[in-house]
Amino acid sequence: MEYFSQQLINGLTLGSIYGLIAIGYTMVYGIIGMINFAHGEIYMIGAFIAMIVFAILGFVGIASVPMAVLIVLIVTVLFTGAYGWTVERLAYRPLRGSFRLAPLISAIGMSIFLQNYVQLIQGARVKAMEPMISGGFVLMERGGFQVTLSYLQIMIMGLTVILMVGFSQLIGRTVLGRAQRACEQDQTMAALLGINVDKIISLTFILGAGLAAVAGVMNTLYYGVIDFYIGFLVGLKAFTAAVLGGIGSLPGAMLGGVIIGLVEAFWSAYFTAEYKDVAAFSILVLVLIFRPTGLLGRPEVEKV
Amino acid sequence: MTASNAIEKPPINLGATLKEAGIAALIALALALPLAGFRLPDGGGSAFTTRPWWVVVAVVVVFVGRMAFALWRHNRSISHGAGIFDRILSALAPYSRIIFIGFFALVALLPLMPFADRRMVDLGTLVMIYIMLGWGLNIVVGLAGLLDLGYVAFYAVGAYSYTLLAVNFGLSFWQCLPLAGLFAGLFGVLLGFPVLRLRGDYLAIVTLGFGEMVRIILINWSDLTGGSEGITAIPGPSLMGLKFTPTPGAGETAFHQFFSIPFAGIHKLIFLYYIILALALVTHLFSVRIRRLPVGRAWEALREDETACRSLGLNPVLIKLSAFGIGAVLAGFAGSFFATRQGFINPSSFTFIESAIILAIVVLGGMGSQVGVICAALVLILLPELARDFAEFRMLLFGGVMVAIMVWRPRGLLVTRDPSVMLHGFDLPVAGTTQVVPKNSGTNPLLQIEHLTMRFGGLTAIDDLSFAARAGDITAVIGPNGAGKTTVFNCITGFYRPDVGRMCMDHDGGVFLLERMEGYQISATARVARTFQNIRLFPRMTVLENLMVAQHGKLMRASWYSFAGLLGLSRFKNAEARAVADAKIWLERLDLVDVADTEAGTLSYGVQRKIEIGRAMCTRPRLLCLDEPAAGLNPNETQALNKILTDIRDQTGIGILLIEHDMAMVMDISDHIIVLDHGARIADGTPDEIRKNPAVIRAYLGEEDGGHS
Repeated sequence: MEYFSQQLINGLTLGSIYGLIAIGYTMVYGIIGMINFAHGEIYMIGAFIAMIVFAILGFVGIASVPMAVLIVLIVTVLFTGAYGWTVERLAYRPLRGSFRLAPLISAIGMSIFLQNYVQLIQGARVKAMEPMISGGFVLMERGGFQVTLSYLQIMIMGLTVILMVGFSQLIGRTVLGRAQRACEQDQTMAALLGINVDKIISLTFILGAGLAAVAGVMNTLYYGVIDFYIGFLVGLKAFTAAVLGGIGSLPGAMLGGVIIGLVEAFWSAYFTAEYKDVAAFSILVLVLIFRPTGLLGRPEVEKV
Repeated sequence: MTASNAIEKPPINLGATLKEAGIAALIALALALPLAGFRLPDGGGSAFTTRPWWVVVAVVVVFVGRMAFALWRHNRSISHGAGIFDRILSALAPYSRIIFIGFFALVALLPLMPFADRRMVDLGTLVMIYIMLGWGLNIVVGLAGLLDLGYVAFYAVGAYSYTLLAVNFGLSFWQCLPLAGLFAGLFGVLLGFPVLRLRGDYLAIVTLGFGEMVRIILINWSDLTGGSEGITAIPGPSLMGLKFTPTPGAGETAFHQFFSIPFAGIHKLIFLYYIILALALVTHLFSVRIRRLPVGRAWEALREDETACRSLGLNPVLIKLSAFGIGAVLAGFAGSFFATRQGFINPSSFTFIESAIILAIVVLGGMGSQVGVICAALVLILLPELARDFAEFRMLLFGGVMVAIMVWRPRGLLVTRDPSVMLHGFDLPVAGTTQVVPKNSGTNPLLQIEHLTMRFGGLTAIDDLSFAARAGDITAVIGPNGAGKTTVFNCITGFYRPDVGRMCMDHDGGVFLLERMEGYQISATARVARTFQNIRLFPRMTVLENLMVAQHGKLMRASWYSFAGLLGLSRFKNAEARAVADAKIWLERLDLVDVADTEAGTLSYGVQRKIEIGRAMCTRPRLLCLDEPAAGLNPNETQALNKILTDIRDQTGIGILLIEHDMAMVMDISDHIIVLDHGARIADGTPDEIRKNPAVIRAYLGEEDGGHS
């Protein structure tokens, strides 16, 4: 029971990170119908920028932890957003109206490029950081086994919930959100009504990159270890989460992220850790075969 | 009047260009500042280093580059015509044969040249492995349009199959090679079967997942695969029992002993070189030949339009599976060669990056182009190997090239496509035929629809609809917009599955309940053909090829599912000639002979409509369903269409089911009209009866007191 609770907490934390990245996949898919394969790398870049900013803040001498985390969050989101914008502008926008696999191939190229770019300028070796936020609550204790909920885990889950609520409001209530939903359904018509479709798409990429950046900050804080390769697997799992939840659906992405996080935590705990990635991929394959619309997605009716 | 017809070039707007370049430089600053300007220490600690010059260089390069790009684009924007690359290609085209022979001679003789050293032979071997893999993936991605990101998995299966068979059972390379191909192919079919129904981009991700899963299993199944250490001491290949080793075992003869020459390591390398050359040649000949067979044509058709393929009776899953499986077999061959060349294997040779490199070769070369793969493999494999200092930029280059090619030339460097069959120059020994259906004398109608109901959520698109269509009749389904006409068609042709109802096709081939059949079977066995409201041709295939795809089933059987075709047996050649002759009949009737070898997508709207009708007729249907064939046609074209349709009815005796808004046309040629409104039938009768029917008038014109009943 204690072990189960601990894995539940760990899984939810992991799932929050996956969910935030999955939102980026789902929004981009919703609006231009492509898998932004480079999104995992955006998350990786976010994690790097976060660690760099932490290092700079440490150098400058900002001692207050909440202050430092806040600054890092804002700065990382801004700079990572620039990467999101650039990727769309260079690799995807020129391909609108090209044949259907072109954007995906371009995205794969972008992903390889970004990975190696970071490897070249930051080196291939692992980067590490001292844990900044330690401590937490002991929820249960029996027979020497403690179930802890660390402050960091609370922060990650809390921030995820706040962002999730904020985002739903943004998409559901604001002018920008309405324009975005309109572009999702019919770009031509949206353009005819005076919506700058290119701008909305760019904004979608920036927002998605911003959320991935937050996930990157969380990763840096939570694990404290990063390298240029972390985006690949995490990106794939976040994409799995987006598909599982129903691609195009924001709550679906979050739900999918949490499920993938839990599956991974429990799989590692009760089966073999070596095969936890296989478990995540198997979920992807099974969902796509048996329920391609995901848990909360709308079915696509083929138009002939 | 002056002779000059050049348009005055407007001067470049320097201010705007500077502003754009400034913005680009600003973004470059944002990108470079944290990530390039600071370098984190390896391992841990907070002693980062700063690199201000990196940021400055990045910003300046982007600023200057953006300016240069703007100037280049400004100068280019006036000139028209083909780019420099296309001009070089077309200049080389007449010499392509000489170039090809010269290139082949060079490749074949390379190891025997005096200047050929170990490294050169080894590099040649490496490049050819990638060429072979590229050709294999080209079938999957270039022809069939299935983006396979886990291609390396089949390569791995081939390599491990050979290794395990050779190490554990002592089988020789030549015994293992077919087995390795077989295992990889089986693996491909097993993996492909559940996932090939998925849409293109989902398929890509799933295959990527499969590739990773295979690698994880190879790492963790240590008992069998040796884990991440892999397996070493894999035996090399032998030449008719002659080993390439300085010290052969008891009872064995080594190559150098047999020929009484001193032992040299390069002998083995040269032998390997010729093995992969032979494998690559076989792959090439196979690819070139299969592309011209019905299955190859079906792959390309599927890439162009899967929905249209289903309407022509092609089974998409089976066709995709064949492409997937054949690609896997070729990767399996390449994999077992890789294992025997290396002498050791481990999972790190089979990462996603490997799949990405092979994909980059296919994409860069031009999807579907055999020569393109050679060029791309030479550039992408040779360049980083030759410029060792440059090696760390290799993957950066791969990624950049993939993006650049998609932006600049999305179809790849070499994009020319040879039609798989040409009407002009085809020697037709036989005259074509069309089917003639005996005049319907029986009591059963050709198509009987009973109580058809179809709902989308809360909307009832078709409400308890019953009607019949007879052979030898033109039956028109009319009704206001949104009456459910196209939905009726989509139910009949299997694109939708109705909620309630029975749809029965009855002809001398048998009785078919359409609501129980897969979409492709409705065309293939129930013999119902259709056209689409928004034309769905295979745009990058010629008109004749479009008509040949429609005869796929017949040609597949005649070619013994490609075997007879691959062997070039006369059985297939005759069948193909008959199919071309049959297609030619429709080309003549529809006045399309002149454009037969033109890409369908380049033709005008009215011509494309005719091609679609011809293509549907080439499936030899008993019922032809036409979805607004006159939409967008001018009065003359509509007149011609009327003649075509009445001719089809009178000469072949098949039934025609027609949705049309052009009332003049409907009244002119229909034998029988069904009027729909809000998904229900409101009238049924001859044109004269319909014209006078008050319910029809009400539905079209509305009532004076407003609203529908």
